Amino acid sequence: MKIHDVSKNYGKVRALDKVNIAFGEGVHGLLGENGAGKTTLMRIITTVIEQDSGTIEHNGVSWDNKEEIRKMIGYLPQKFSMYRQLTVRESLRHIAILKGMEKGWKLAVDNAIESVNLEEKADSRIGELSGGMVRRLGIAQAVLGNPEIIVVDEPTAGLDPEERMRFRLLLRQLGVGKTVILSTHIVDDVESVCDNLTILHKGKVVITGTPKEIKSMAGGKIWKASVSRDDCMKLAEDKLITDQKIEDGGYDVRFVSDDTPDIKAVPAEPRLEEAYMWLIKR
Amino acid sequence: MTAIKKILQKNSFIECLCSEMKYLFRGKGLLLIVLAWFILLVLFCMAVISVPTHIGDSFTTSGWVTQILIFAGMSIGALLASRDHRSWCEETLIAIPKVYKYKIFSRMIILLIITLALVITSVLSVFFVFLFKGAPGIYYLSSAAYIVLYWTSPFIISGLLGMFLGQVIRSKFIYVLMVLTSLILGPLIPLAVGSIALSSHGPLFEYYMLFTIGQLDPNGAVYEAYGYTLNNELWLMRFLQLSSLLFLLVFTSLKHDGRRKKILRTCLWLAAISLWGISVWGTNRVSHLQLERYRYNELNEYYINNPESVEILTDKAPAKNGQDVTGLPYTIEEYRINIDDGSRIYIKTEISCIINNTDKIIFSLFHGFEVKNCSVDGVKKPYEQVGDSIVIYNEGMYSGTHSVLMEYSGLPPANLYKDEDKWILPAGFAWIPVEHIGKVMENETNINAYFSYPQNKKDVPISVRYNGNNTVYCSLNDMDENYWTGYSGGATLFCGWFDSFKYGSAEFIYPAMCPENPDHAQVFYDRIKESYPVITEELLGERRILLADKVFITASLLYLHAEGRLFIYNDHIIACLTEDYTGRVIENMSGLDTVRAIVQSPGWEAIGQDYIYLFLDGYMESMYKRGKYAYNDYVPLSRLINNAEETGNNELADICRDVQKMIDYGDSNKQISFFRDYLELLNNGTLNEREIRKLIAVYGEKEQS
Repeated sequence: MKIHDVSKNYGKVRALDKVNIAFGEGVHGLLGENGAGKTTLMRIITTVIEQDSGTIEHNGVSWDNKEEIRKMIGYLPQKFSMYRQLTVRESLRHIAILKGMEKGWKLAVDNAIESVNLEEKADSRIGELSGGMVRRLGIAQAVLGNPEIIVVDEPTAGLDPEERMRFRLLLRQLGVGKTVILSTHIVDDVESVCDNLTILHKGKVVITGTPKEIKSMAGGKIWKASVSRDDCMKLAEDKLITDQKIEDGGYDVRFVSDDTPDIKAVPAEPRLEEAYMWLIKR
Repeated sequence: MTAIKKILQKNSFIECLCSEMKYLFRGKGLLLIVLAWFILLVLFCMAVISVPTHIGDSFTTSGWVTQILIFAGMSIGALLASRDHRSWCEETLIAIPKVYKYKIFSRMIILLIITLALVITSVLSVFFVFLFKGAPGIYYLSSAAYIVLYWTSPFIISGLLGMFLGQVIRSKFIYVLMVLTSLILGPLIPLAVGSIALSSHGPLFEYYMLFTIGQLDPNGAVYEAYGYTLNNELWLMRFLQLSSLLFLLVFTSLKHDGRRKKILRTCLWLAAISLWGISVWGTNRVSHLQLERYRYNELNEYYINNPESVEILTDKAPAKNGQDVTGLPYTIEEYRINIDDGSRIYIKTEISCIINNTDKIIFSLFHGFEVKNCSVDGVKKPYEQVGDSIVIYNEGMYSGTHSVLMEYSGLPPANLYKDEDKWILPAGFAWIPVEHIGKVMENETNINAYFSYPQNKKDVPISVRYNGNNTVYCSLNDMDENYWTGYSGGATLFCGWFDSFKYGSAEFIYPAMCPENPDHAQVFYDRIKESYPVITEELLGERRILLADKVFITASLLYLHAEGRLFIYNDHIIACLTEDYTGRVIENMSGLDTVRAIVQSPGWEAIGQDYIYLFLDGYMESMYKRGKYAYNDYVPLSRLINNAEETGNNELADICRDVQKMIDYGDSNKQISFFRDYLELLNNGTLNEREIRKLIAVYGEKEQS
């Protein structure tokens, strides 16, 4: 999928500014702080809204042809649920038939339920499900019809650690032979799931690459030191502290610095989150 | 079942519909709606049962039901439209091909299904109550139509509007907007500002008509001829309102189709053209749908605003209002009348008349009928229509028999229920050109209309042919379907909520909504047949047999001058009851009203009401006490005496007492002579206390006084 010079304004606010990204097979992460333009881009990719300018195409099909594009996309939006009065199975059956699965919908629904591990709740009403179960149902509906592109917007937000781990595994499985676009502001999700990553900041693409490439870009910019409480406070005024742990009355800190710091510190192996913060700060 | 399941599974649209149905039936909302509707229906049915006489009034005053249904429709529509948004699945569904569109369409169908359920349950409930109450047959279909026009079409229209608002507004402001819109569209506006805004006859009413979906007059009564207000314009207006909203919703459903800009442009053009068309159509077509209670002013206003219209022509005319017309330079010999109805009544009247040497002929014709064409012997002639007069200029015409053809169209005044397919055209009303008398009607109060004696003095052959689809009753003899002929001073035509029955040789045409009328009408006819020869013999000096064998009973607020409400023509009778009548009223018209109908003349206009009632009440008491009238349904003279005493009118009280003595103790022949001479004074307009005393001195009981 090629996104070329896509821009979108909400009144005077520029949500996306000439975004250029190319997505291939695998899981692609869109990382950025709140308001970076991730959800806007997701909604444009899923044809929920239209871009003001720029083009998008996938395998030669332009986004102008919405009906065709929609046949290729499975979408789990940031806020998702279904009609509370319907059961899990009924909801998925509903979506399957709406997606044009006139034959074989039953098997597809069963597979989707199994893939998200919702067999026990298959005949429960949506209103009775927990938040995590609803998100899993969201994934199940997104994969129905075997779409070429799966778009998931903040899928792990609000989930407990166990559900989050389960979700990451699920997303990794989905990325085999498909294009999965994952939008999140949780760096761990990206690091554990994504093959490629695009960082968005204020509607602009900051960088695109593999998590490893992005981490390596911050090489020599991340430092670690053991400091007293007072020094830690002073350091925080000058540098971007990315991690701090209390250790023997003082602090073990990691921080971002383009130059060699004045305090006693040694270069550290950059983490993805630190690379992201360094890139954003830059 | 399996086959049905397969069919259902094949189509995304049907799937949408099924899921919507499932959602509807599983939700608690449906139970609440059903319960609320049940309570509403029970309340309404109780209102119908409790109405003593006119069941239809329960419907015409059911604005509260309409207002509730408008609120409900709008809320249900908005809830349906915002369901995906509230369920957090809108974006998911938009991203599936065509689903957004299907969802909107399936919800429209859900709304339609609810509407049909409302129609069926309300019609069945109402029919059940009608059966229980023994309501006349005419109520059934018309009430069903009323329910569709005033209850369920506002429900579905407001539902679609609610759907539209629910689609485009996602903030809580929608609740405020829905309440305001419901109030504006509903019947509360005419109730609140009716007399100010709607009586103006200006464009405000016509534009208001373009969007209102409730009753035009939430306080209105059901009228005997007019029935419910179910004009074609209202149905068309509902259709247009419904179409406009469907158009808007279809447009909204294409919002995520990607062809929006092109469609938007096309739709805006279409919308602009449609709105222009609707406005033009609306202002041209709805103007006569004024509220009944405000239309009564029209007649008064016309004569007040156009005083010259009568005066100019009466000055030129050979006879003045109320005068004898023997001076006219023509004599009407025959009428041939053709009537078509549509949005107006279209009439072609061909008059054979003997014209004496004159270069212009003046007829009287109600100003509500606009003359389109005049010709004499097949040659078009110039004419001038001013007020209730029409002048045909015809220079160089030789004396002799000529054929005058007039084509005109219009509607009678509100007092005769003007409407496109329901009307009353009584013989006394100048709906055909009659011998010229000037102003043909008067509207002395807002409600009551008075005829100005426009009946031709001479009976002539009349033929009437009606070319419409409605059932028309005519006072002339039935010759063929919708063709009548006769020899009369005028013809009466009734078209509307009327029914008929035969009683002996007589035919009664009566308001179909009042089943109690037929029994009382027979009593009335028997009594009037009995008293008519006596009254004519005693007061007119010539014993006449009642020949009228058609009796038209109407609740029109229509009077001859000085409150006469019974019209006896040579071939038919018109009995005008009042809106609040009961069946017995017509029985009582066989006394005093019959006397008045037989002997009243324009001279009475100059006489005070007390002395008219002294004559009428006195004569009825005299008849009764002399054994000439067997029914004690008259007002005794003692009541007039009491009234006079209470108001301090001692002179009148004295005179009344003298007349009563004469009735109680006097000679029958003297009494008859007294009332005959009294009548002569009334007709001459010269009656006063002195003259009455003179009569009492001649015919009264001297030994008693």
